[in-house]
Amino acid sequence: MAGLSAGHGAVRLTRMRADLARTARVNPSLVAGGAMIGILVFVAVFGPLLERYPADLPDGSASLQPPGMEHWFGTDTSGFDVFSRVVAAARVDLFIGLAGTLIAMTIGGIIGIGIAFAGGVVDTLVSRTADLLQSIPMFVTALLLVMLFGQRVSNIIVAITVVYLPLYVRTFRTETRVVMERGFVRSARISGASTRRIAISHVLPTAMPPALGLWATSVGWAILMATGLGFVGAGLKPPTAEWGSMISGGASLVITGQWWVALFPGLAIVFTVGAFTLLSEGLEQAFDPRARR
Amino acid sequence: MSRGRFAIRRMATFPVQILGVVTLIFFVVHVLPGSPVFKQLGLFYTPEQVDAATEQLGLDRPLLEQYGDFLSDLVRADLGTSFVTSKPVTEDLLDVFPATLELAIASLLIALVLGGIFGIVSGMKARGPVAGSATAYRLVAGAVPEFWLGLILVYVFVTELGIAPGPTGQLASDLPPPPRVTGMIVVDSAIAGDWPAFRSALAHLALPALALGFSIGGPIARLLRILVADSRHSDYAQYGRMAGLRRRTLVGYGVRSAIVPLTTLLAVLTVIVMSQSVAVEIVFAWGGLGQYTVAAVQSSDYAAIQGVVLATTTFVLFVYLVTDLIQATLDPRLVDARPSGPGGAGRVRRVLARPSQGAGPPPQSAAVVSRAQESR
Repeated sequence: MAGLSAGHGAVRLTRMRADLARTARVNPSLVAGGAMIGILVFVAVFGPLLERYPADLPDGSASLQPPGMEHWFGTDTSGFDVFSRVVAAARVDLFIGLAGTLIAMTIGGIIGIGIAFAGGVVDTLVSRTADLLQSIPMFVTALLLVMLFGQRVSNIIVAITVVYLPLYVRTFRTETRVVMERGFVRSARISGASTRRIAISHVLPTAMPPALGLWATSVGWAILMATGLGFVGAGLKPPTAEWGSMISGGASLVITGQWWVALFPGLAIVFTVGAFTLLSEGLEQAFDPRARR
Repeated sequence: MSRGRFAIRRMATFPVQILGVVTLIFFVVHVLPGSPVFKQLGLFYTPEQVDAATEQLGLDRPLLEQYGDFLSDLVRADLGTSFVTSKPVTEDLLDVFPATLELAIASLLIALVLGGIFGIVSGMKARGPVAGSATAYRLVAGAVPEFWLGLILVYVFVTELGIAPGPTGQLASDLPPPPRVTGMIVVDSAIAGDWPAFRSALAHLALPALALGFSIGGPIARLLRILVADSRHSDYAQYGRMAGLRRRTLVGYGVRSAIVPLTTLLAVLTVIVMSQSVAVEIVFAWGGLGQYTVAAVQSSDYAAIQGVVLATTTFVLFVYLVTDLIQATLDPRLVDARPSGPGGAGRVRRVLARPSQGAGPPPQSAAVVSRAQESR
């Protein structure tokens, strides 16, 4: 009995490995993006173990050391260890990006599906407002909100939510309109299913895949926006480790040749945003195999 | 509907949109916490001072009356006075806007070249090292923070190689600026025939435009790759190949069918440039709208903030208007099917967001497909 189940486990493991290998061949973006995000999550969760020096405690005697064995990514003007801060900032920037976009997707989903069902004046009014909001440059809106409410993590998340909300409202609205015309929704309606039931068990599952693809991309955008805010001095302030404000701290040093202070946090951003872009392309392809090119 | 009627109807929506934005801004500013009164008074104040300041700023009057005044000021292009520069906001905006416009145009041109080359090449051939490098470009372009790229460019071209001027604005400080015509220094110095200033202005423009253009080129490459591949697999292209048309001719058709979706994308990218140039302007001390915005926000300069939001949004809506009118000329089929308003933006945002957009049945023109998606 025991032998049988062990054999069973081995078969399952082999099959899983084969599945993974197949997926990697058919959909490399999904696997690469997933693996990169895995690394990021690992760094975010086990960050404190990886940080070789305290991320928010500078060592004044070791300012502007170039990268080496002591300080892998060098140190900045105040003597902060750049490596430890790049690691610590992963927690902050990932959290902001994930939280902001997830809230935007949830609220945007409810509003988008809601107005698609409601139709009429409500639909027109909300859609037009969303259009108008989208024609205000996003960064300006975010800048304004954060400065009005104060430079805190929660307010940056609020700003990201507000900025990306119209995008999700539009996506969910369009997808819902499409699904509502499909045969299975019509037959559900004819068989007497309630609006709530149609929305939850027919519309939502069909509208979700495109929204998820959009979500993965917008996490990357949101992180770019949060770091942009940090860079212009409207995001989180030091000593909190945040990639954008770290680059800002290294900006003037680039001219004098201390490139490492600005370089490494930027590479971390490229890695993170790239990971979510790959994930998004992979999800797209997984949901819509015709799109494979 | 005739093309003329479409143009008139579309132009008529423009003032309505502006009114919408104006109303939105007015109420947001008046509903949000952190009234300008307290910003003006500073840390210490008495209740009497609060009342006096409220009255002085006219904030004690009925909201509708304030809204009416706000509108009538706007009609006279009076946006109030910035308390940082102590100049009329309208004047400030006219001062800084051309610099940003110049940067935006230059970076869109660079993006068109980069995105055009990579997009067309990878659309023609799906595999191989060329397509691989195009994929790598799209990926990096979408992930790189433009302000950071600007710093890296400064390090390479200024600090290490010493072949570009430092990030100190639009013109070498020892050169007198050319007489102001458009406000764009590259153009003005060319008009004045001031070649040393022209060369210096171009050199100053190169790095920030490259930083922005590199990242903006990503979506262009993505869209072109899809459109070129679509047209390559289309019936007309297959027929053309059978009939023995030259490859070059067929590529020409493919690019032509891409023009309408590309203009829509360019409109959206203009909006994105207005966002992204803010941080890039800080890197290069560009002295444009972006830097003005950050300064206004950081000093809670309400009149200036209101002006900035209004000006950028009006510019964006204007770009959408022009795009719609151009497209109606390029493809008359759009005249009948197209809902007016900035809906076009929502459509191309999907192209931006969803890499596989345009897949499915091979379209004669991708515009038909995206139109079908919009109206469904």
